Order: sequence, then structure tokens, then C-alpha cells
Amino acid sequence: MLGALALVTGCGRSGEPFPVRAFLAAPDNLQGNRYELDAEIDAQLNWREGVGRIIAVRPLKDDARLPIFIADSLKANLLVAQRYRFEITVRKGGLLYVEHLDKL
Amino acid sequence: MRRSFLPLVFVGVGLIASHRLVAQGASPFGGAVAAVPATAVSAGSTAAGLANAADAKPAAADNMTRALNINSLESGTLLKIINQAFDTNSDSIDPENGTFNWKGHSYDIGQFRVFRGRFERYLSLPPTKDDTAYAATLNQITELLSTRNGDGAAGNVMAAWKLLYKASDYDTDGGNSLGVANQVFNAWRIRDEKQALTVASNELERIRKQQQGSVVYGGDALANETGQTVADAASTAALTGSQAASGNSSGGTTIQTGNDSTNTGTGKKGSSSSSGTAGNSKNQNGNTVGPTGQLFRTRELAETEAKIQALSAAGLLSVTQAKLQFQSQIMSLFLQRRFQHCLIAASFYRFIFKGSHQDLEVGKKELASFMPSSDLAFTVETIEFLAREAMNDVNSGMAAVRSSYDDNRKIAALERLQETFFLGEYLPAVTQFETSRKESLLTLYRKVDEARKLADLRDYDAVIRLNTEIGGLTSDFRGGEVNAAVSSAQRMSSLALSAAQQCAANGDYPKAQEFVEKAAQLWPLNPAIKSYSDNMSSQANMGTQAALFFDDAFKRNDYRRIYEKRAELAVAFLSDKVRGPQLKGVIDRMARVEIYLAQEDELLAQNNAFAAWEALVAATAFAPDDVELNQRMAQLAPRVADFIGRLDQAKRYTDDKHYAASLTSYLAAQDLYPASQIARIGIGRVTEAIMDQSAAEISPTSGSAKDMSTEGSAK
Repeated sequence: MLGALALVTGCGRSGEPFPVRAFLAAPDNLQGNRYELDAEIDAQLNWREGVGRIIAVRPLKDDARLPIFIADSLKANLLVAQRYRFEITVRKGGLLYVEHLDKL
Repeated sequence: MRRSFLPLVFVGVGLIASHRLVAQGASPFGGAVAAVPATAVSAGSTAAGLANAADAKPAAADNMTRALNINSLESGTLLKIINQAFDTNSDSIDPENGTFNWKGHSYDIGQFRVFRGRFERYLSLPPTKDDTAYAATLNQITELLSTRNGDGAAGNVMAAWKLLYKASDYDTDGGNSLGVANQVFNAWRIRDEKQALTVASNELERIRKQQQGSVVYGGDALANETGQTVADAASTAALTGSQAASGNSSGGTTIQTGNDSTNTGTGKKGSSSSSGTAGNSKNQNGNTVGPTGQLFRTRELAETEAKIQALSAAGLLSVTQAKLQFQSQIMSLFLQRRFQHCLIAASFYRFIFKGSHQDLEVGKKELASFMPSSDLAFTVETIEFLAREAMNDVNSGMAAVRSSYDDNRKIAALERLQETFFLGEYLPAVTQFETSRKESLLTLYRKVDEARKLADLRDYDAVIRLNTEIGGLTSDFRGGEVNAAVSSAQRMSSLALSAAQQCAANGDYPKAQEFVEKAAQLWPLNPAIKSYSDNMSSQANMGTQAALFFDDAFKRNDYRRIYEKRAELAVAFLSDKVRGPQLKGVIDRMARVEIYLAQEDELLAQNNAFAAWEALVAATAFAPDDVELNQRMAQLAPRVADFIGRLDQAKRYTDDKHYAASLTSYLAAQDLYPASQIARIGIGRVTEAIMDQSAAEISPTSGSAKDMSTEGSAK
């Protein structure tokens, strides 16, 4: 039971909400962090086969749109206006890399 | 007896000369006979010299004829002159060494300009009292010499001769009367000498007859004494005489024929013979009748006959010389157009020389040029005829001058006067022409001459002005034709100048220069040429200034200043292969900037500040340093500050290769202005960059990519 909890809190998903304003103000400061982001898909900005897609999402609790990268390996079927919970990592350059996503 | 001695002295001199000729074994006639042809040859060579001088003129005559036809008023008129002047390809007239033609003969009138000067002086000077008196004197001389008055009485001739000296005192005579008087005097002197020679010849003839009688008597006496015939006696005397002479010469004996050569034939007065000759005897008269005496008498007779022949030849020579000199003088006066003097000299000649001497020996060729179709023998009367005809021509010419003048056809009057003046410059009909008319014609002459000179200089405005003035002076001046010719030349000049301007506009300056030269040639004072030169000069200045201005503004990227002066600069850099394209580039840029600025105005009017901003931003790509553009951006920036901030931030992130952050900023900017072109383009650019980065991360390490693919999962 403890092991399962540990997986949920530490080793599994962070569960920390993504600080949208902090990211907008200084994205580099968040590099390497993992967050959860509940957002609605706004638009697909780019897609490259075998690499992934860049999606503009609008956080449910903020007006600012954020770009996220969803690797093709996730094999996700995304549609505009769908809401997801994204598990994201802030990578170099401020790229919000989606590690996992769940439809809300 | 004393009076006849002087000729005898001349005869003595002649005898000495003939004696020398005899001593030299030459015929005493030979010298005299040879002398006559020599003199004739000398006279002939003088005539030939005149002929050669006349032959040397044709070339100059041809030139001058052209000059007269074109450059003077004679049968040419100002129109021809001006038309000649308008023809830029025409040869220039060389009026040097001119001649004047009359009846096919060319009179050498010397340097044409000098002659024109004489004509002008003639027009400007009124006839003086001297001229009148001089003309009266010459008329008086002519009257005295006329065969109608006094039948050529010696008194009239002498009076006429004296009047020649009076006439020569006048300046206008030029010493010609004195020349005629001297010639007459010379002829008279030679005539006196001829008379003296006749006296001497008569005396010698008397002596010859005496000597002939003596020789005949001596021969008869010798024949009676020796029983020989007269012929045998003569031949014996000649034979023995020659032997005696030879013996005397070799023996040094001297035979004196007498103290006085004139009484040689009269006997042996006071003569002595040291050696004597066998067979000589004296007759009752004391004359030697021997062969030797007979020999000397025969020789003396021969010498006397030789002297008579020599005197006859000398007389003939003197007369020939006098005749040739006189004829030369008459011909010379005629060729100098001194026709009155020519007539006077011919009249004197008629009185001095008898009818058989009237044929001309000199000047035949010159006269033949006046009468080419005639094969008549030329005499002094021929010259008189031509001189009178010339005077008649002059008189009729002056009548024509007066008639034209009275009809207000002064150009024609001036032409006729000039022609008449050429021929009758020294005749009273010309010299006595009315002063008022001469003044009027001089005014016209000067204006026409000035117009000609102005036409030569192609000062057409002045020519037209003078034409008007000349037209007011006379009714026969064809000013309209002159004006038409002037207008034609002016148009040609203007056309050439237009062509030059076109060539200059096309940058073909050598061709432009060629056309300008042509225009200037046609009409040097064309005012448009000055304007053209000023324009070209100002263009050159403007070109220099424009280059400085352009280079400075271009260096500072101040395209707006260049754009504002684009019209002037475009003209200045038409042929500038460096600045021209640069200017075109600047104009293109600024034209777009202007379009964006206009667009910004419109968008602001629609209250679309973001779009207006984007228009300004688009304009900065063409003129980033444009003051106007930057001012507008500065004015607009506060209204779109957030948008600008996000775009700026996106740009900076892009520059730092933080593409994700940049994308975030672009999205933020797009949120502010969803239609933003800048944001849309930026998003496209940075998403590609992110893809590139992501792809790079995946491909080198497929494992890691695989990890990424396996790590994340969608539910």
C-alpha cells in the first residue's frame, strides 16, 4: 500500500499544477520541473510525422494559451476543445513536453 | 656753213665707227642692218611681256569674277550674298587680286578690298572745283586736237601740248597728262634728230657724187695712158693697189689720204708718198691718175656710200623706237582706263606720225581680247574706237544710274554705278555725279554692306532689322526673300538644337555636341543655344551637387531625403551608372514605405491599432531608419504596448534559440491580436524550429526516442 502511494506521490505523477504566470514570466526558471496541467486544446500548431505535434492549449484556470509538445509515441487522438490533464516536463528552451495525458 | 658742221661731226663719228668695221673685215651695213631687227626684237619682247602679264591673269580673273558675282553688288544682289552666307558648306570668298571684265577683257583692279575702298571714297567725296576745271582742261585739249577744229594746225597741237602740263597739275590726273606730254616731246625730239640725219645724209650724198666723178675720171685717164680699157684699168688698179697696200703695210710706209676725211675725194692736197708707185702721174688738175690713186678714190667712195646707208638705218631706228614708245603709252593708258588720255595721246600720235605708221606694233593681243571675233588690222584708231566706246558705255551707264535712282530703284542704281565706276572711274561722267545722289547711295551701300557682313556673321536678327531699314530706302530691295532665308536658317538651327537636346537627354553627349555645333553654325546667335548651354551648365552643377547630396544621404540610410528629391536626382543621375540604380532602389523602398504609412493611416482610422502597428513594422524592413516611420511607431507604440512587448519577447527568445518560450510569447501576442501576421509567421517559424530540435533529439539516439515513446502514454 505504501509502495503504491509512493508511486502516486513521488515516483509516479507529480500532481503539482503548472504555474502558468510564472512560466510566462520566466520559462527558463521552470526547466526540468514536472507539472500537471488541465487545459483545453485550442489549436494544433504543427505536426511532423514520427516526431510529434505542437498543440496550443488554454489552461482551464487561465486565459493565456500555452504551447505543448506531444510526441507521436503517445499515440494520442486529439481534438480541439477537448480537455485533458497533461503531465508535462519543462524542457530546455521552455518546451512543455507532454509525458502523459488523460482526458478529462 | 657753220650750221651744217654739227651734222658733219655726227658723220665723222659714224665714219670712224665704219672705218673700224672695215678694218675688222666686216660689212659696214651689217651692224646697222643687224641693229634694226635687234631693236624690233626688243620692242617685240616688250609686247610679249605685256601679253604674258595678261596671260598670267586668268586664274585670278576667274576667282575675281566669282567674287564680283557673289561678293559685290554687281549682278549679285544682297540675296545671293546672304544665301551664300546661309550655306554653311559654302566656300568663303577670297576677293584678293580682283579683275573687272569689260567686253571679255579682264581689267586688273588690284586688291578688291582696296578697290571697294576707292568706291566708298568716291561715294563719300563730293566733286571739287578742281575736278570741274580738270575736266574742262581735258575737254579743251581734246577740242584742240580734234580734226574738226583747225585741221590739225601746228598751233593747236602746240597749245594742246602745253595744256597737258596744266592738266598734270591736278591731283586727279595722276601724272598721266605729263606722261603724254613727255611722249609727245620725245617724238618731236626724235623727229628733229631725224631731220639732222637727213641733212648729214644729203651732204654725204653730195660727196659721194663727187667721189664717183673722180673715180670715173681717174679710171678714164688711166685707161687712156696705159691703153687699157676702163675695166682693165680698174682691175689693174685694184690688183696693184692691194699689192701696194700690202707692201706699204709690211714696209711700214704710210700713205696719207688727206688731213680732212671730207676732202679725201677732192685730190691729194698736201699728200705725200715716201715710197711712190711706178706708173703714177699727174693730170692737169694735179690729181694722181696712177693705179694707186685710183684705188684710194674707189675705197673712199665705198666708205661714203657705207656712211649714207648707216645714217639711213639710224634714222629708221629712231622713228621705230619713237613709234613703239608712243603706241605703248597709248595702250597703257587704255588698259589703265584713262580713256580721255588715251584719246588725247592717239590724237597727238596722228599728228606726229604719218599715215603709214598708224598700224599697231604693240598691244595687239590685248586689243584682240576686246574684239575676239574681228580679224581686222589693229591700228591706233582701233584703240581710239574702243576708248570712245568705253566712254559711251560709261555715259549710258550713268544715265541708267540716274534713271534707276529717280525711280527709287536704288539697289539697281547702286549696282549700275558700281559697274560704271569700275570702267569709268576717271571719266567726268562718273566723277561729276551729283553729290546728293552719291550720299544717298552711300547710305544704302553701307547698309547693304553691313547687312552682308552681318549675314556673313549670321546675326540674323540684325539682318532682319537692317532689311527693314533698307526696304525703307529703296523699292527694289527683295527683303521678303531675305527674311524667308533667315527664317529658314533659324528653323534649321532650332531643329538641330532640339536634336542636340534629345541626344543629351539620352546621354549621347558627343552626338549632342555635334548637333549643337551644327545649330551654332547655322545661327551662332541663336538665343536657344545660350539657354541650352546654361541648362547644360546648371545640369552639370546640379549633377555635382546632387551626387554630393545623394552620397551623404545614402550613407546615412536617410532614404526619405533622397525620396523627397527623387525628381531632381533622377534627372541628374540619368547617365550615372552607379547612383542611378541606387536611386531606383531607394525610390522603390520608399514607395513601399509610403504605401505602408498610408495603410497605417487607414487602419488607425478603423481603430485597428495592432494592424496599423504591423503595417509600420512591415515598413521598417524597407527603411528601418526612416524618421517618419519611427515617429509614427513611437506615437503608436503606447496603444499596442503589450502586443509589442510579447512580439519583442518572442523575437528575443527566438534569437536565444528558446523557441518554446518564443512560441509562448507569440501565442500571447496572437491572443491580443488574433489576426496578427507577425505572430502567425513567428509561430510557424518557431514551431518548425522546435520540430527540428525534437527530431534531432530523437534520431541520434533512437533509444532515447524509444524511451520517450515508451515513457509517456495517453489514456
